[in-house]
Amino acid sequence: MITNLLQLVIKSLRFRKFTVGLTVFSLALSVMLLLGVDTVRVQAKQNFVNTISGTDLIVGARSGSVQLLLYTIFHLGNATNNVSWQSYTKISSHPRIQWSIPISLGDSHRGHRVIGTSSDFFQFYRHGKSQPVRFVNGNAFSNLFDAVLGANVARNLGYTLGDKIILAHGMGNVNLAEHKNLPFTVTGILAPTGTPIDDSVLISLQSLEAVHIGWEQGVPTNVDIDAESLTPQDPRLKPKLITAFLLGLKSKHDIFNIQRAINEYNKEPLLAILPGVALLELWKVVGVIEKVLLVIAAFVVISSLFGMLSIILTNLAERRREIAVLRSVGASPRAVFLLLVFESGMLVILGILLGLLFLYLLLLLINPILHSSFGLMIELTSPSLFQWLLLLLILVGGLLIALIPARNAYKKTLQDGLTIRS
Amino acid sequence: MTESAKCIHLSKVAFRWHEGIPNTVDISNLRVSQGETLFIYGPSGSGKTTLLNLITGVLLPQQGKIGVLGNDLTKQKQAQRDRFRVDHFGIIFQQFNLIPYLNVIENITLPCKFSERRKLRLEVEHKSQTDESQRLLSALGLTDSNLVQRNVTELSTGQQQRVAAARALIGSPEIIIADEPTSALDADAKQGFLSLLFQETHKSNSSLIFVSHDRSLSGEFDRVVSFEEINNSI
Repeated sequence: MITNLLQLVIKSLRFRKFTVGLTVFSLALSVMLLLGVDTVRVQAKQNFVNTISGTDLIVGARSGSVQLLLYTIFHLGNATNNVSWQSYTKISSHPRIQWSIPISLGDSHRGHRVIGTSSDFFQFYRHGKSQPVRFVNGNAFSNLFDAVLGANVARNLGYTLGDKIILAHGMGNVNLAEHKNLPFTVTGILAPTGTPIDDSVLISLQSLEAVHIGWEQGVPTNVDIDAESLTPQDPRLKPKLITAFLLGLKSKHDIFNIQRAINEYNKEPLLAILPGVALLELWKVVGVIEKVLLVIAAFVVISSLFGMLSIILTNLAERRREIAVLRSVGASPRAVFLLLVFESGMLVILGILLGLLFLYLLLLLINPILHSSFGLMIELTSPSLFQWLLLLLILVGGLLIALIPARNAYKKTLQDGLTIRS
Repeated sequence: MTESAKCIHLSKVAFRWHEGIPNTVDISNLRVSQGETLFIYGPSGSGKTTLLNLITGVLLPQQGKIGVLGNDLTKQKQAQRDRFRVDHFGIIFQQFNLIPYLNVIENITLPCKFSERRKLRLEVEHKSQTDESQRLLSALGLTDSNLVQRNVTELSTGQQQRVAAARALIGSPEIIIADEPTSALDADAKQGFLSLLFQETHKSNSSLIFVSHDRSLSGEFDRVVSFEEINNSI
């Protein structure tokens, strides 16, 4: 009986190819949208949280933890204050500290941030799932005026190894005073990381000091310094201030002790934050958007389910004759009810399957674009538990909605009997 | 008339659509014996179709007994009546008899999908459903073999009614119910359709209850009854 009904359902759906096709297509689009939004949302969060890993503490001048995270890791905004070199050397030489990376910000190259750091950066900095930064070309800076470029900088500006670049004082694109007298040589290009490192130019702290000799007032007062006269040992190149620094500890057990010690450091007001905690705090702000998107997508699904309902109801009026005929050959009202529920169920299942197909095709198609424009890598995995749950919810919702026309048909079937109304 | 030959027996049956309105059907006694052909005439809207709904167990009367082949329909459950209907009745409507998304053969064999009994009756006689459908089609004057592949919506009204008759006849149900089946046909086609229907019902010894407003069709029937005469409510 069930197989007979299913055969009828399939033939009936095939007979109404066009409206059925439209309904399934609209369902499929909404399913694709919902799962697509969810996929991007989850992956964006993953990418976001993976911006920095392996670092136990970020230390900067005292401000807010989100602010510190924003300017040191995301290169958004500026530091309100700096950290003295003395504090940095004192803290980083603490016996419980395994490694440290100084970060000095403030200059730029054609809109890209310049990070003054040490070669420890290339050894200890981690992103994603503890991935180190990797060179596609060349290597870390060895001479004073060497620069390493992030993947986007090299690609967008078309630089290759050996090219000369000039840094600008400050951040922005227009009318910045440039450090024209001291050009840098590109000695390394990094592989894409999907993090703000891709948009950065990395140089040594000493060279950053060098380009600022005579710039103590913020504008050049003594520009006749040439590269040849400077050596890394020059006392003038000893850093005095840095923006922030990253710490790796020997043992994770010490994180909270060291954090408290830094926050209570009495020589200078400092702030030490746990990157993971600050990232989640920041995501709470950013994450509202993802929730809104998900809710909108859910409403699209609901509206297409109601679209299906109205199409079934419209068809039902035309199908009263058909139902009377089915009754005359022995179909019970219950069979008519099941017939309509099966029909809607079939539409929803087809919509879900087609939606999944659309989703994966779309992801395959836009993945390269997302990766190159946003550094967002979307893995093509099977749907997550949450997504299976969403799909189940759509199916159940579709079947519940199908109860409306099925119940209508059932009642009319009982009222009409075998009377055929045209 | 012996008790065993009695096929349908309505006694003191009263039906109304809603509480507080007059009865649509009020029949004190109506008997049809096995193999009998009965013509019921009456104006449209007089409740003839309601009577057929009662005989086939689609509607239940507020009063009275409806005996069909020794079963009291009023004592059966809904599901039992649905099965009983397809097992023992073949039904032809005025028009729109066919399911548009099924082809000619699928339309004819539809009762075999819902009735084990009608399916078995063919199997006992070693007839395949398709062969029997084609035999009935040609017996009813549809000999064109291309017809089978055609979409039923492309058939003429006369052809559609013959397909509907074949569906009612397949698996030899005991009772054929025809509700104005010829009203959409022209005069020549009417007589042709009727004699073919007689021929096939006689062959399987089925009873035929034929309802129409058109008395000119009543010639060959065993018994002719005026609906208004048997129905006390009018």
